Amino acid sequence: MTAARRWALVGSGGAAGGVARALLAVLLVRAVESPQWAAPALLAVNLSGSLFAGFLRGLLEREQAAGGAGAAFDAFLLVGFCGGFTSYSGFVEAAVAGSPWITAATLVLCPFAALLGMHLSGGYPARSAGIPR
Amino acid sequence: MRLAARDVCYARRVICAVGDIILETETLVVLLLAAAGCALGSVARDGLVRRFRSRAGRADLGVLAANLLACAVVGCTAVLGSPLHAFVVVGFAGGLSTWSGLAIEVAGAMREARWTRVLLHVPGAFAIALGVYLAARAITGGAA
Repeated sequence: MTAARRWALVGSGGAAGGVARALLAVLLVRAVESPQWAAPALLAVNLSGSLFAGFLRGLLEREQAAGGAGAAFDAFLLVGFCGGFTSYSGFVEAAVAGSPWITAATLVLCPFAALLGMHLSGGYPARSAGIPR
Repeated sequence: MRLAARDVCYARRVICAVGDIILETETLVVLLLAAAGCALGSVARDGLVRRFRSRAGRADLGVLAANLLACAVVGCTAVLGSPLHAFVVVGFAGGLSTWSGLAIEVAGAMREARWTRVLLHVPGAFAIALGVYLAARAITGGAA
């Protein structure tokens, strides 16, 4: 894949993920009319994004183990969309704003969500085949 | 599976609400700016991660560097007004930083029982990111 094609795929996936995150934030503020729900909303975004990313990573490992490439799939969905949808800087900003339970829940649950996603996609066997992550 | 009339009515109301929000000019501008910023941030993160992977063989350090850089950007720009906030904070920093990429790296380290790496990327990275964010905010006067 050329560098320009990868940039286009990562950029368009990232834009879609960023819009989805911003739209969810706007929708939530309209629905509950309270900024207190911003941190739980970001937890939901980061958790669902981590679960989806883990699932995609597992699928990609299976694809690579089967001899397929999946580079476009990786660039657009995994690096672009999931990367743009979830936000670490927003998480740190919310932690400073003062929501210790949400902070702790994010730190503990997001890696497990990714692990669960990998399990659900059945991507585990690829590890023993030496597939680079 | 058949949907009940009540469910269809509810789904229609949600779709209409999303449509109304997107069509509001102010929200549309925010979404477009966030999209443009996020596209740039995502490409920058991908470049950083690939550079770390090719130079040091460690994609996880690339994710860490991108997240710390994004926290510094957010800390420096805490006082920005609405349109710039959408582009820089929601868009660029949101795209540059990632929880999903970090979660995958940590999940991979857990699978391989690399617990030092898990400690570096979960409590370690959070402590460093918090320090970077607060330092950037203090330096640029964003805390005031």
